[in-house]
Amino acid sequence: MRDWRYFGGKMNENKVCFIICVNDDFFFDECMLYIGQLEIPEDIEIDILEIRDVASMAAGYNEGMYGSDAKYKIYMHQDVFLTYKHLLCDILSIFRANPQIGMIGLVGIRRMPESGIMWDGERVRFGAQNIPLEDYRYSAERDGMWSVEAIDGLFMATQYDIPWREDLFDGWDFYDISQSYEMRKRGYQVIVLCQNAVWYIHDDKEVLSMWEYGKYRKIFLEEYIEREKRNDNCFNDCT
Amino acid sequence: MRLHVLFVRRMCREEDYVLQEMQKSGHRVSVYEIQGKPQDIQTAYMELRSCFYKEVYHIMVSVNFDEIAAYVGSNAGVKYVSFQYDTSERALSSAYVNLVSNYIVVNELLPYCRFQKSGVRTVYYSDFSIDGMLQYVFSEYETDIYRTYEKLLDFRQQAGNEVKEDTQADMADACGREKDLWLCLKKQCMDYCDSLLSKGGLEAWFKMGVWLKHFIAYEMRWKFWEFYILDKMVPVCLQESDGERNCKLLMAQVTSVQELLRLYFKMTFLFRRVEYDIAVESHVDIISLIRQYSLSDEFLRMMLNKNFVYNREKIIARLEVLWGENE
Repeated sequence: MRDWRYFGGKMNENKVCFIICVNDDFFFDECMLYIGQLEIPEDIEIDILEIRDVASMAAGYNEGMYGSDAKYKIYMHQDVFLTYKHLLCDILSIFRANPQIGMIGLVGIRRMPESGIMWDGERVRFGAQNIPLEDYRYSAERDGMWSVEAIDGLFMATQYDIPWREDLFDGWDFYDISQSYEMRKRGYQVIVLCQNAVWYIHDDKEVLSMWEYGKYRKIFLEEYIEREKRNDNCFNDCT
Repeated sequence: MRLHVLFVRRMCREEDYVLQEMQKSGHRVSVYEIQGKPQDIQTAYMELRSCFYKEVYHIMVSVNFDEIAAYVGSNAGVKYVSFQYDTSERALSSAYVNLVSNYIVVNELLPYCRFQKSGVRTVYYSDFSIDGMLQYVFSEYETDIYRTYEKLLDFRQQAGNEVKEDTQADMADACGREKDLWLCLKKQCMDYCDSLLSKGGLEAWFKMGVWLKHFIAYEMRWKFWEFYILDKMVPVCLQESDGERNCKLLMAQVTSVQELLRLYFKMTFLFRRVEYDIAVESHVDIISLIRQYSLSDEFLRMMLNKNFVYNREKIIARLEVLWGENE
């Protein structure tokens, strides 16, 4: 696997890299239009890595992660359209002010149900208000954020590189929940920002085509839940 | 075996051909012809049903517009009844819906679900050789789909019995085989929808409507987004035809599922671009698309209401201004 760090590279702290697995240019082009509309902080350089022909989401994201020197990486789906133009600015200021936060999502779950099925639990995304986007600006103090156990893979922003578990999750499910657990295992917080406006649109067409969901759910439960119960999966192992 | 055939209206030579084929295959045929308006189909059907009631075990109605349309199965030798009606007239749609909603329909595969519910599946198979029935009743597309669906149901039943131990290998194997069957079914359904769309017209959409409503609805549309979208489009197309014989129909313009889906998403994306001021000329593109496909109000309303479009007023206002300038 290519990794610029093996050759003495340093993380670029002023760079954000969008890493997107692509198999449909029609959607990807639309996704890019919205990324192109985002407000970019002056000192920040933007890079976009489109990963094609991947064996799994985790494998694709590892390829992107090792291939970019950006400190901040945003892993997202090709069918997510970011409508909130200040998203990058807000996320970067949260990351910079909070080094303990490892990953930020736009949808998440506060407590993972024992079943391992994310949708069975309490999902968090919206705040109490629904403000038109043109009148809206997120404020961490006013709107707040949730500390969560896992976030949805539609949008995952990180400030630390943690390898994706492609050894376990070699398909299209549970890579996101696994990554959330990997982050927390290393002592980082995973959060969801409380949104009082529509920050994104997700044309999630394949949501129920999860043929191997059961298989990966079992792997997830064994790797993270059962081992945690047996105390051999240290969630206190802070980095 | 005596075949009872009811024609509500004899419209074309195809019916005579069907009759000849039936006779060739050794059936004795009784033909009943009922004159009247298309909306009398329901009445005619009921009359026939009451005539044969004592002999008829259950009634199966088909709405295949190209072939034999309805069947009567009985213990006393009545096997088929055929309806044929002129589908070009708007009035038929309500009769059609009544038939589909109230009776067991064979030719669209819907009956399959209904058989299971009503417990008459056994009778169905004991009376008919499946191969003969399939060839006789279903088109090639329909037969393929029917067989795959059969395999899928059998597989599920077997898997339920066999995979007692919930091992990872068993699960992976079962998932893989079920996935293969679903993907095969998807391809066959898409091919069938393509063939219907390529013919164009109301009949094709009626057929797709029936499929989506009864057979595909419960599983396919949740498994494959293509069918979820088709399911949204069909009512729009049927609404488009409401009250007009020669209305400008979206379905006349679109000739494949792929084209339909692209149109759907293209319009969705354009609406959103206007809403979020993503591209300056998006509203111009919308107008072009409306003109290119002669898109109806029903279609646009559906698109605005069902696609995460939040600020409809803004979009409508933009379009109205441009539309006014161009008129």
